[in-house]
Amino acid sequence: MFIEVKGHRLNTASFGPGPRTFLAHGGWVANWEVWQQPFELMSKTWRCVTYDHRGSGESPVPPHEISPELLVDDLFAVMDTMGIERCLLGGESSGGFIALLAALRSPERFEGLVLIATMPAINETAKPLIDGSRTDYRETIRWFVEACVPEPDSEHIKRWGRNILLRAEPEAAARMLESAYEREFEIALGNISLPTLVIHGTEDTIVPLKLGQQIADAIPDAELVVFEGTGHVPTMTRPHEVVAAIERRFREIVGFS
Amino acid sequence: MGRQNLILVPGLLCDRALWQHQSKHLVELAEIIVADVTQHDSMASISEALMIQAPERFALAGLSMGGYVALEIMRRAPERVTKLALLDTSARADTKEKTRGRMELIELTLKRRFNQVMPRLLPQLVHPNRRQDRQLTNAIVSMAGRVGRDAFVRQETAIMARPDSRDDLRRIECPTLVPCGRQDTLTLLELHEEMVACIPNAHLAIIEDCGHMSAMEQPQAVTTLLRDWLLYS
Repeated sequence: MFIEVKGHRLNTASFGPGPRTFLAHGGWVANWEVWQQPFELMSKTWRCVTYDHRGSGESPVPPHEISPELLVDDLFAVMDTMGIERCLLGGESSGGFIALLAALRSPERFEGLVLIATMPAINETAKPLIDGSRTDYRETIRWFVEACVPEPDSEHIKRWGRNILLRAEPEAAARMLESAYEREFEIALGNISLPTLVIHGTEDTIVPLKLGQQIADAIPDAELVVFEGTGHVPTMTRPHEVVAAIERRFREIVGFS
Repeated sequence: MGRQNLILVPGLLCDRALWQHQSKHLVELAEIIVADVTQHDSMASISEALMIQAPERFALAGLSMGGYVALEIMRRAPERVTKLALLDTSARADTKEKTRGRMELIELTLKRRFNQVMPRLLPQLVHPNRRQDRQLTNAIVSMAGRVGRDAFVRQETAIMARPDSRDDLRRIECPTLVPCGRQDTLTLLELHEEMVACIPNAHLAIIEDCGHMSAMEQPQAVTTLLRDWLLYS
C-alpha cells in the first residue's frame, strides 16, 4: 500500500499478523521484492514490513532528495505511520548501512539488527556503480547483477534482479550511493548496542566477506553466520537459510517493553 | 530506558583518552559516545558525520576544537541537543596570528616533522605547574601520536576555516555550561565570559589550578561539573 510521508509516497508491503514485527530495508535501488521470499516464510509468525525506499521501485523522488539522512527519516516515518512501536530491523547491502544509522539514531525502537551482505562504509568501491549508472545504466546493471549472483542455475534470479534495478532512474541509482560516498564516513560500530545477526556469503564479490567479519567483530553483541557458496543476495538465492538464521538468533525475544 | 545520551567531542590531537575520567564516572547517568573528529577537514563535514550517527537527541559537550564542532551542530540542528557544555573553547574565528601559527605546524607536519608539533604545543596546553607532570604530559603526547599527522592536518584545516559564532550564540536556547581552566592561555577566560554573556541560559564554571586541557588536568572537577549539568539542567 502507498503511504504518504513528508509530502511523498512510499510503496510499502506488509504481510503477516505479528505480534512481532520485522522491518526490512532493501539495498541500492532494489525494491521491496528482494524480501518477498523470506517474508513468505516469516509471515506465519511475524508481521513482515518492507517498502520501496525513496528512489527505488514505485517510490521515485527527485534524485537530489536522496541522502542517508532522508532514507533514515523515511524509515522512522514508515514505522510511525504504520504504528510500529518497536521491531526487529533488517537490511541487505546498503540497506543494512541505513539500518545501522537508524539503530544509532534511536536504538530504543529496535529489538535487534539483521545485517545481510552489509558494509560499514560506502567508499570508493562504489565509484564504478556511481559513474556507470550515469554513463550506461543498463550495462552497469547487467554486470552488477552478474557479479551479485555467482550461484549456478540462477538465471531467473538474475533476470528478476535486473528488472528490479531497472525500475529506478539512473540518476537516482547514482545519488543513492554518491550521497553516502561523498560524506566519507565509516559507521562507529562499537556504538551499536543491539543484538545483531550478520549474514554474509563466501562468494560475495560486491561486499567481501571480510567486511561482514569486520562488522561482526566490532558490534559488541553480534553473531556472524557465513553462507558457503552464496553471493551478494542471500534473501533471493537462500531465503530458507536466511529465515532459519533469523529465527535461531532472535528466538528469545519475549514481547516488547 | 530513560538514560540521557551524552556525546563528548574531543579537541585537536585528542581522542577518547581526553574524556577517560568522565566516560568512566558518568556511565550510570548517561549513554556515552565519544565522537570521532579525525576523518574530515571542515566543521561542516565533521558535524554532519557526527549527527548522522548520533541518537535522535543528546546532551553535547565539546572541549576546544570539540567546542567549535558543538557550535556548528547548534547552528545546524539545535533541536537535537538537550543541553550544551563548551569547555576551554571560543566562539570567535581564528586570528591572523593563530592561523599563521597553525600553518607553520602544518608545514612542519608535511615536512615529516610531526614529532616536533606536540613539544611546541604542550607548554600552551597545561597549567605551568603541570608541565613536569610526566604522567599527564605522556598521556597527552601519546594521544596526539594516536590521532596522527594526517588527522592533525585535517583538524587544523577545519579549525582555521571555522566561522565566527558570536552572532549565533543568542539563538542557543538549551541550558549551557561553560567551564574554563582559570589558567587556560590558549582560550582565555574572557572568551568564555563573552560566550556566557551572549548565550541566554548559560553558566560559567571556572576550574582552579587548570590550563586548557581541563578534562585531563582536573578530571574530578570536570566530572563533577558534567554530573551536575546532566542531573540538574
